[in-house]
Amino acid sequence: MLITLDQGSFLSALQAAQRASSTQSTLPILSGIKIQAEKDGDLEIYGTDLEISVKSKCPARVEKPGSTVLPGRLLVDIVKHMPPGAIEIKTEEKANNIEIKSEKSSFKIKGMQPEDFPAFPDVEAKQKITVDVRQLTDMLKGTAKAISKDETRPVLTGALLQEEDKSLLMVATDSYRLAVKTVPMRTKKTENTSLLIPQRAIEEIQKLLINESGKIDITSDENLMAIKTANIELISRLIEGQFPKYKQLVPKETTTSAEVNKDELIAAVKRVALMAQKNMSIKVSTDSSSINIVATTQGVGEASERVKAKITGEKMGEIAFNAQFLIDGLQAISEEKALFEFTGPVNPGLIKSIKKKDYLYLLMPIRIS
Amino acid sequence: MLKGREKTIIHLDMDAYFASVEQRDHPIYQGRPVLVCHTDSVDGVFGVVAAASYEARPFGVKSGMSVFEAKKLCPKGIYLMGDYNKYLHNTKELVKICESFTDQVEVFSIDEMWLDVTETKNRFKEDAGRIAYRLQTEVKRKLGLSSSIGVGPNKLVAKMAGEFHKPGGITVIRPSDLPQILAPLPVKKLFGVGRKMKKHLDLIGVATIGDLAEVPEEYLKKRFGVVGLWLKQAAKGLGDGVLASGRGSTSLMVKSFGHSSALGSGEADIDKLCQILLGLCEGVTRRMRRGKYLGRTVTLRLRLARSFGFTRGHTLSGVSDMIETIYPVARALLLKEQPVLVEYPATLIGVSVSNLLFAEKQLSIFDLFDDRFVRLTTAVDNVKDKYGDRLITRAALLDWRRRYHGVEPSRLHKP
Repeated sequence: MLITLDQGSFLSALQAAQRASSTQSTLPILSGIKIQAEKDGDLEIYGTDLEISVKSKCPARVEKPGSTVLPGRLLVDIVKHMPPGAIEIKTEEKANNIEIKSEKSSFKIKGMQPEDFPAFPDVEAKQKITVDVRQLTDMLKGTAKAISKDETRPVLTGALLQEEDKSLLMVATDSYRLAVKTVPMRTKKTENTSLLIPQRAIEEIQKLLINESGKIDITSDENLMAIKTANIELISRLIEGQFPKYKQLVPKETTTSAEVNKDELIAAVKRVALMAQKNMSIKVSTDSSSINIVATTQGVGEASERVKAKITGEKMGEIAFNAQFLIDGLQAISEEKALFEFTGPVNPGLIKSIKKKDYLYLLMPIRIS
Repeated sequence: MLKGREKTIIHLDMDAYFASVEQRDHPIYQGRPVLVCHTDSVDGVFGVVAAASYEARPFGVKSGMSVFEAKKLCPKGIYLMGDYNKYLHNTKELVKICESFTDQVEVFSIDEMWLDVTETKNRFKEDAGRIAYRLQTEVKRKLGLSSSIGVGPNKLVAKMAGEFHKPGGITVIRPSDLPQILAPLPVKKLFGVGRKMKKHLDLIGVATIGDLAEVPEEYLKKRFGVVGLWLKQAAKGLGDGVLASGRGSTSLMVKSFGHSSALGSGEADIDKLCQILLGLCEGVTRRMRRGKYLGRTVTLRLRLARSFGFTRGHTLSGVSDMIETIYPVARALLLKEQPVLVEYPATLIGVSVSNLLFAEKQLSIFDLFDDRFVRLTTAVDNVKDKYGDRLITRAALLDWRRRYHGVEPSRLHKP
């Protein structure tokens, strides 16, 4: 193999692939990145940990085609530290030694056998969801934080992407809060697709979409999903299992409803939470015209703050929430005002968007006695 | 340590604590052997002695002994049920006294604490022995209780010093006297060296703390790892001088809930062990719910025939006070040990829940799906609170209490 390419575009393509590669696998080959140069084509770069796989492309002048696998972290570091400009990559076919050269510097590193590298998975496009990139980004942003990190309940370690009549939903829960973001779809589907996408893939898709616009396709079969931009293709395994039937959890009616300026409430919760040193627990109550927040840590002190709100319904006594969970929910609202609803101290609280009615965040309280 | 920077640590240990509190509150018990027991009823023979007054000690009664044994040795003793709320309240008062001497107080247990009086000593140019004497007098005057005090350059030495003159003594060990005082003592006296460690040390011919100080550090490290390094330091009288002080009274908080059951000569039947474990979990979770605690770490304790015991633990993803969560974890831990149990039947089984959170539980959406267990447990707890613990029980536990409530009843009547 003998190729020449640009440092900047090589680095960004490498980084995309390296994020998919594994740092702590028992299979050493998974820590590697495969680069493959075909005659008259772009350089293809692959990374995988067997859960997600990324293929990125980078324009290159291929003089001699070939392929090799290089230690991922090291390769990224080398390319990152090279000066902008042309980089030449050359392999000595026999010993699998790779030489990476810029104008002044030269690195020789040992490669791994490209035959050992897992093949890039093939997704049969049995189902296809087409969605606006901006809408998809909103969905990911609104739900990503609610995804569970606890491996004991695997179905909660991903977000559910579901078509439903004329809308597309993304739902995630870590069992303490549940976030649902809905976007309208133009066409009514006959078959409703439902995918459970792992947290890592959600994170990668977010990064993938940063500079994208327009429409994007998500294709899937029983086990895998794929999403593709001009230069990067990401394939992820789907999580097996049944996502909790969350709809029955959302209370149809609540007794107290508070319309509040989102940013004011977030700022107040952040301030008061400084005094919630154990467990991040803050107590919320309402009177006729405001939401009151209190936090106390025994032996340290307490804080309280009133936030003006339009209250309808009954007066809410005291309900305790995890301050961070509350902030996460409020931050996902894109409008200026939010609706904060409760029923009782052990019933879930709800945070909703008012105008678009496209976001719902259900927050389980902390039981205090 | 920089010169002039030596720390002065006081170790305060209450003499026959629970028994002394009872003697103070019931003057009629004074001068008589008092045994505070950890049991359901003092008329029975179940349970263990939690504290024995100094009058009871000549009979050979020690804390940790079963009530059955104690009654054989000291039949005329006054056997009382422990009133732990009273002792805890008393300890809180004790902590307050200590905190009037220094803000650096580490509460080690209900009747032992360390005080870092370095500042007190330097500021007021007061001799450490005098501070100790003032502390002891203050405790006697305010609480009417006797205590033993050790003073040393670190926690370790202070604690060991306290052991020299009991009850009611004060022992000051100055850094310069350390080698002469420590070296002749048997290693067992070294705080932190238990029965097992003593066995290991016996094997390598180490009998006294002086011997231990002579063993090359590399050897100890190779043999005992980090503990080895600690041993070497400890034998030279070098210890950690930093107190886990924080708020004195908050460190008095409950750290774990545990129940255990002795199994006589040994039990290998896994089904029976699971049944006993279920009963123990029931007791533990009920006490947790009553105290409004939730726990995260479940620990299974097993002692196998020939006295070899160990623990196995598991940490849950969330906190719980429900037997439906705690028992399956404890059971899974037990089942993993099944191969060992075949060869070495269990002579003791216990379960404890630690990593506690008080009075606050983050509810989960799964509580909304099915709260039948919670409602059932609350109902059963209410029945038990009103009519007593034995009125309602799990079917799986029907023959459990008869079998294993301390010692098998059949053995009790024919000692």
